[in-house]
Amino acid sequence: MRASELVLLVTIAGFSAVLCVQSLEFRYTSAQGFGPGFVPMNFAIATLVLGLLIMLKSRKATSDATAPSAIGERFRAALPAVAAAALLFAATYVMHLGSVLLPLFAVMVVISLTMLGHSLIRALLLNAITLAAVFAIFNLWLNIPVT
Amino acid sequence: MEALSNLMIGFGEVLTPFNIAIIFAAGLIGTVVGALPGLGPSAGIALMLPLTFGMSEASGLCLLTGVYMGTMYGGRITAILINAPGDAPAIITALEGYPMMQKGRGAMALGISAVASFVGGLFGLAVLIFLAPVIASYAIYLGAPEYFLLMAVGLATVMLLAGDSMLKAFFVTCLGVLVSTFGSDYVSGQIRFAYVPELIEGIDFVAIIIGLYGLGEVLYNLEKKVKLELGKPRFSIREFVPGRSELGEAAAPTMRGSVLGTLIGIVPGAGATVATFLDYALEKRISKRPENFGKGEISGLAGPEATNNAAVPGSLIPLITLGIPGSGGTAIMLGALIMFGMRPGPLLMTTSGDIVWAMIAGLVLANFFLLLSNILLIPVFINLLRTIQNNLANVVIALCVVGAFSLSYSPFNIWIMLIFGVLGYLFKKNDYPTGPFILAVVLAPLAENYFRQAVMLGQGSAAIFVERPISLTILILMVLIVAGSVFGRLRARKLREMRNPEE
Repeated sequence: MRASELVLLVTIAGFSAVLCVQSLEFRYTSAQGFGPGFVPMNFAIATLVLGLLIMLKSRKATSDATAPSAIGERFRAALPAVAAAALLFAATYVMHLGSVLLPLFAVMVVISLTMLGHSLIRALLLNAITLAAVFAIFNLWLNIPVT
Repeated sequence: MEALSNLMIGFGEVLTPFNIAIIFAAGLIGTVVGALPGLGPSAGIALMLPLTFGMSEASGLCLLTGVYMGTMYGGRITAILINAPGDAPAIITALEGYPMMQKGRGAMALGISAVASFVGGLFGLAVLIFLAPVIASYAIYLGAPEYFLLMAVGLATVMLLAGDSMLKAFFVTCLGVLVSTFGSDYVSGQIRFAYVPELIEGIDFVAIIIGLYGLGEVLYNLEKKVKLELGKPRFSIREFVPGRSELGEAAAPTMRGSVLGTLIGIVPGAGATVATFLDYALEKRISKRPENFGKGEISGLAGPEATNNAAVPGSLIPLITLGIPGSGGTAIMLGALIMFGMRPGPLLMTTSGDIVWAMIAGLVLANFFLLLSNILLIPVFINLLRTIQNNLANVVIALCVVGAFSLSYSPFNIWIMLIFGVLGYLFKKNDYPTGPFILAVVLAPLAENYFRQAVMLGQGSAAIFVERPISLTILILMVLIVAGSVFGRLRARKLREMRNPEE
């Protein structure tokens, strides 16, 4: 099993376990039918069971992909995606200060420079034009207060 | 014949230079709004509503329905070009259109989908004109058990969207159902898992699809270092006007999609999204090359596109004849009808027939304008993509972030979009199908509500599902779909084993 799949399954299992426990706060049945806890509890349990089955099935098909060197290589390959996601999470946190486009511009420039191989001037220019177009459509035309 | 003469009166009202200009502009605006991730028909109509304040009823309604129709055409553009569906029904378009784009046939995918959308829209309009009162009269016989079973039939198509691993498909389906349980429970009135106030209304479906398909694709392409090589901007008619072979391949799926889209569009609450998923599943089921689905199959593109556009006039049927809005877009249209001083309901065609027929005539005109404009604009869209191909990742990221922001004018939906973007990336990386997940997110809340209402109606007994003739028929249909899928999979596996005995 790949490390990324393990991360996916463990995260979803954790999410399902939390919802399963919290669905106990809602009634499972009512006088003439089912309560609001019926669907979340059953589907949380089903998700956990199916996740476990996938893990067991994958263990049988273990290959060299789980060897340390393969994991290292895979992580290096996944680094651009992981870094881009991390940058976007950080930028969204900064967006709570008021501006959406400024943090977004910073992320886009970093992605341009480090992952798309653009020069600094090209990165600044291309992304400024892109965000100007986005601003014109969303803010000026559609009156959506994105700044 | 009476319908035709009424339609002619409607055309008489609509064919003024001002109204023609309004309809053309509405189609174009709808196309652009529909293409923007995060903005669908509801947003398009809502944004245009203030513009109708000074207009006559017929002009105002022509503007709104033109935008509605235009968004359905526009949703497919970003779905095909950058795998970021502009609205929910365009998810299926992305499944087949984007692989065609990756093979260098994006312009052709846009051309085929424009023609299919036109045929679907026209078929839906013909049904709206001739059969509206007749068909709508049957919709009142459907109750909670029938609606639940219709949703369950939709969910049963998970088996057809499953891909290679049924286990993974069921896993993501269950996850989709769990995601859909956030927010208000409309049967009991209780609020589930609202950790922050923004979750009281649940997780916004549009933020989910923007993240899952738009950002997820960007992250995956950054890892795989995928680069589009579309060449320099150029103009070639052969690139985007479908030829005889493409049209031949698309003809039957387009007709099937038109019928299905109109029928499902009529059912209130089902809407274009459910219709496109069902049609895609149907096309895959009856295809001679089901293994090509997901790799750029024309029938998988044309059918759902026709369905999507046929559902628009279909959803107007219960709105006009019964006053029941069948979708988010028609709910806003209902508000517009009331705003213009009309009384939606069974008497609308009698009391405001001239305006309603003018609106229908406007829709017919809009459909022709939209075909022309969408075919003619394909080189613009494709060449725009060629121009930005070196910075495509950032363009998609910007559209995803701003699109998610525009849903509630706050960064909350950007967080949601990011979470589902990472999920989409991990799904794609590890071969987990996204179709069943989205299907569950769309259908599960409706299915849960109708299921619990139906059981309450049956006073705690599930026998209500087999006691009513229509629900029993749908139940049998669902059993047939599941049995057919299981049988088909077993047969395919047996054939594979016969061909490769060492497996």
